[in-house]
Amino acid sequence: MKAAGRRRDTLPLIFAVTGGAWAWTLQLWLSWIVGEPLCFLQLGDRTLGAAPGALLWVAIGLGTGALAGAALVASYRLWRGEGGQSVTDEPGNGGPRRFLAYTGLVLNVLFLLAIAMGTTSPLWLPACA
Amino acid sequence: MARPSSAALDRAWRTPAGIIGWLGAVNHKPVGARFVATAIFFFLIGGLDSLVLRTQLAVPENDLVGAPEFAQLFTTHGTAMMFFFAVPMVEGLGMYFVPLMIGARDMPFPRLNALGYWLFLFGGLLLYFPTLADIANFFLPGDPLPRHIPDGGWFAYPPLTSAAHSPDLGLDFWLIAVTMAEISAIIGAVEIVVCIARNRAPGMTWNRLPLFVWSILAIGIAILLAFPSIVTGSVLLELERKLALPFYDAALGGQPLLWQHLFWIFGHPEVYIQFLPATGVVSMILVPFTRRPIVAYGLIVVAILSTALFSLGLWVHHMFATGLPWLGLTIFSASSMMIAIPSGIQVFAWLATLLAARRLQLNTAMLFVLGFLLTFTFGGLTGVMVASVPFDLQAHDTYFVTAHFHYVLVGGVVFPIFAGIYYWFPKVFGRLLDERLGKLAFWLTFIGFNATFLLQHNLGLLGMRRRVHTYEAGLGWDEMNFISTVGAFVFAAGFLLILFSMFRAWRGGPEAGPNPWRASTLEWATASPPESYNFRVIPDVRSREPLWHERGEPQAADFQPAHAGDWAPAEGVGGQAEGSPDDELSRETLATSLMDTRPVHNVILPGTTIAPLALALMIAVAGFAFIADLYLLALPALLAMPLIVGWWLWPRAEDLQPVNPGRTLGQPDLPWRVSGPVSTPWWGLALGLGVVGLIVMNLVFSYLYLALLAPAWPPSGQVGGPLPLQLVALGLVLLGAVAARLALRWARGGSGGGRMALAVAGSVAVGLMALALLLDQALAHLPDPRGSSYAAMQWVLTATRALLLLVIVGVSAAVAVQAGQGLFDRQRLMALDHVVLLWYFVVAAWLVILAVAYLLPPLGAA
Repeated sequence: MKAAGRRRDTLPLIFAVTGGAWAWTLQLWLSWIVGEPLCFLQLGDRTLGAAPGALLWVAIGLGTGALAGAALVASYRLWRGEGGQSVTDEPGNGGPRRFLAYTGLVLNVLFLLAIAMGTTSPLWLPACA
Repeated sequence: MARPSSAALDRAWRTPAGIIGWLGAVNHKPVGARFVATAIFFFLIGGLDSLVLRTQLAVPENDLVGAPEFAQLFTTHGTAMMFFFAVPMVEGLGMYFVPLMIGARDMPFPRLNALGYWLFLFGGLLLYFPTLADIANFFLPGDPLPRHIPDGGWFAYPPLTSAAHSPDLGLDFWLIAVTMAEISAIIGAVEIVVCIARNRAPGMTWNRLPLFVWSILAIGIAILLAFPSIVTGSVLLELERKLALPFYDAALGGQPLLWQHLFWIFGHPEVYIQFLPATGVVSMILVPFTRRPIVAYGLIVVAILSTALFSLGLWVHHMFATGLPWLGLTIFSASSMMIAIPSGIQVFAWLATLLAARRLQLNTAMLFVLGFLLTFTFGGLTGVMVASVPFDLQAHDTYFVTAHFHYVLVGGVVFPIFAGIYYWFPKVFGRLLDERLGKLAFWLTFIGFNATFLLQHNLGLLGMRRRVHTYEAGLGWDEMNFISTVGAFVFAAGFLLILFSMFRAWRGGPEAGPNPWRASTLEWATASPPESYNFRVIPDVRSREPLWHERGEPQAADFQPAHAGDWAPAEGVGGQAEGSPDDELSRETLATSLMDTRPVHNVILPGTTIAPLALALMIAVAGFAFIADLYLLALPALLAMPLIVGWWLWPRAEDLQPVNPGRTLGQPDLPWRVSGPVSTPWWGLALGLGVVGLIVMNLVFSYLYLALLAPAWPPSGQVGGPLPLQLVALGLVLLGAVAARLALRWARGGSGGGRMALAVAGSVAVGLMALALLLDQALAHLPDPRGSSYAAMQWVLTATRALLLLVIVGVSAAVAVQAGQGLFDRQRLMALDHVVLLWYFVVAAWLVILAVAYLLPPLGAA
């Protein structure tokens, strides 16, 4: 029972800490996989069937952004649930769970930012030059 | 429960005297120290290469070395520094200090540690073997030895490195050497990650982990994720060179850019793998010399983790100039710029710590830290510049890039390592280094470094390309190149001064005592040098700065641990009373839970053995013999490998019944016979399988990459064979997994050994049948692998499946014999547990490979 309870507690924590990283990894790979053929398509070098490129690109960004957002919310809730105070000093202000929730919180913000930058990057560089 | 006596502990842990004892040492301290010492040796050799390079470029139209020799020199220089200095250096530091910092007696897999070291050493010797042969020609009449020095750069791009364009054996030596070095790094990473996750002392929770340990954990994870791609790429390139399988040959459907992807998926994180531990060193040094805890500990941890993770997704920024579509480049450009944020967080946290110092002590270690801050920040800023695609297209392959990465790698890695040498030398050798010589060495290296590389930015902007062996006079480059060369020699003088200083201190420097810097972390609670067993009593950690916490505040300037090697005995895990010096003890360390560091089980550790050395030697011999077409030498080496592994893994009497388990840890009631996810070996196996899984995924990636870019996939008339028989083979593999699982269930139920042995033997039988079917199908249906990249990939994927099956069949056969001998029961079933995990892995790998190789629809105009 104890072990099952620990597992139940650990899984949300794992998502809260690593969710943003997974989302960004997914966005990077999907966008890269989609991006190259889309540009080949535009150059007329290869036929992979018509794809609504921009829509697909944005959909990947939004989907993975939502995943990172969910991880952000999860980490925030865990952090609050554990006391929500600063974790930069010791002793007496929280254990490893709150620390990891805090770590996840900031990590998720960074990955969300990276997803936003990746999604909007074609706005500041020509997409298929 | 009595504390173990020092004498009894030392008897259990000491490495035996004599050559066999020396060669068979497996403890984390000798192995870590050997990594560091050997890495410094390769730094010297690589540094000598660079001095010749710089001398050649000192004046225009110089003819000290010709273009071919210049290419050889920059290849060995880059390879030595990137593969044989920086990564082994930081891993060696991690191996030595992580157990000391987290309160462990050793790392969980000491023999693997030793194997990693010997692979690294033999890899380095293979890299320089052709150079040694060339040097030997000077002394031998008639140049009898072949000149096969690698000359394809540290990146070895095909088609330059294909057999057609690099026909001699230099690149083959390079590929084998690099593969061995990277396997060594992966082994070290498995060890490091499991050790930090599972061997922390009670109370050493995630929020108290020293920042150096966080950085080593981050790079351990990054190595596990990134390094399998270079192993995959190198094996494919060697297969292309040796057996003409055209993975990178565009004429036969291959893609030279596939190599660049595989190389940079590894190569870009590698830079951060070198840099992050250096930041960990800086964070550790700042604390004692500012007499205050680091500012923004939590944010620094975030910065370390995010830098490691971001680094895994930036590889395409090394390929901006290869003509890839810009839509893909934009996302990598965005990620490349993102990494400036965590780097900036760390720099500001260090500056804030310096500003908030209670008492700033500007000794040699701190001077190197300050030098690092200046040079690394400069290198980081130029990094943001080259992360921008338009700028990179202008600066690509110029000396601007050379200057940028040397600012990051020398300023960002080498300076902190020098700082670490001055900080930790007293711990390792028990002697203090000379501060006056140290400060002189700092100024020589700092001025020499900046003189060498600062002007190279300008040279790059003026158009001087990398890797040119000479240049015409009058281009405005002459003075800058000359200053750069002088700077290189000044830097070298500074480094030699550091070596001299180390030698002098080792011979008879002033004694350091256990904690000369009055530092706060656990390694300073041990003797200097630390005892063979590290801690007499496993610490019970109560704070992030445990040594300061014990005495109140850092102002307690007279802090010294009461007894070297004793961790606050009243509070440690163990009792007050002293055990007998005649006690017989086992080598053991504590495994604790992942989150709250609760003691879970005792890890019984092996003693001295030369098995790792023998295995590494056989791998090196097989590799060398394969390169040199000496198949009669390769064959016995290959056959010896499984025998050595069997010798290594076969349980001995002391494994089956260790002496007084738990006694040295003060935990006699904790179990030592555990299996499944609570046990540390299971973690090691799971991570190892993860690495093999990534190699499989890299092969799948390669297959899909080639498929998508080939004019037609498969080429007309080529097919992989009928699917139904492949499914039959898969069914047999599945049956093998079921049989192994059945044996495990019977073991848990307390059944007799005969039944278990029969079930595991059954899995061996069906495994062999699947292997026979697989080979039959391959020989009957697969096209000539030299004919197209499609056929080559099909053969490689088939060989991968066969190899996995061969391994699991061999392991299962050994476990079947052990089951027959009655070595398994309800408590003792780890090997069975591992066999089941291996079978599951093989089933999963087969499924993925089959799905890709047989279910991908034809692409292109077939």
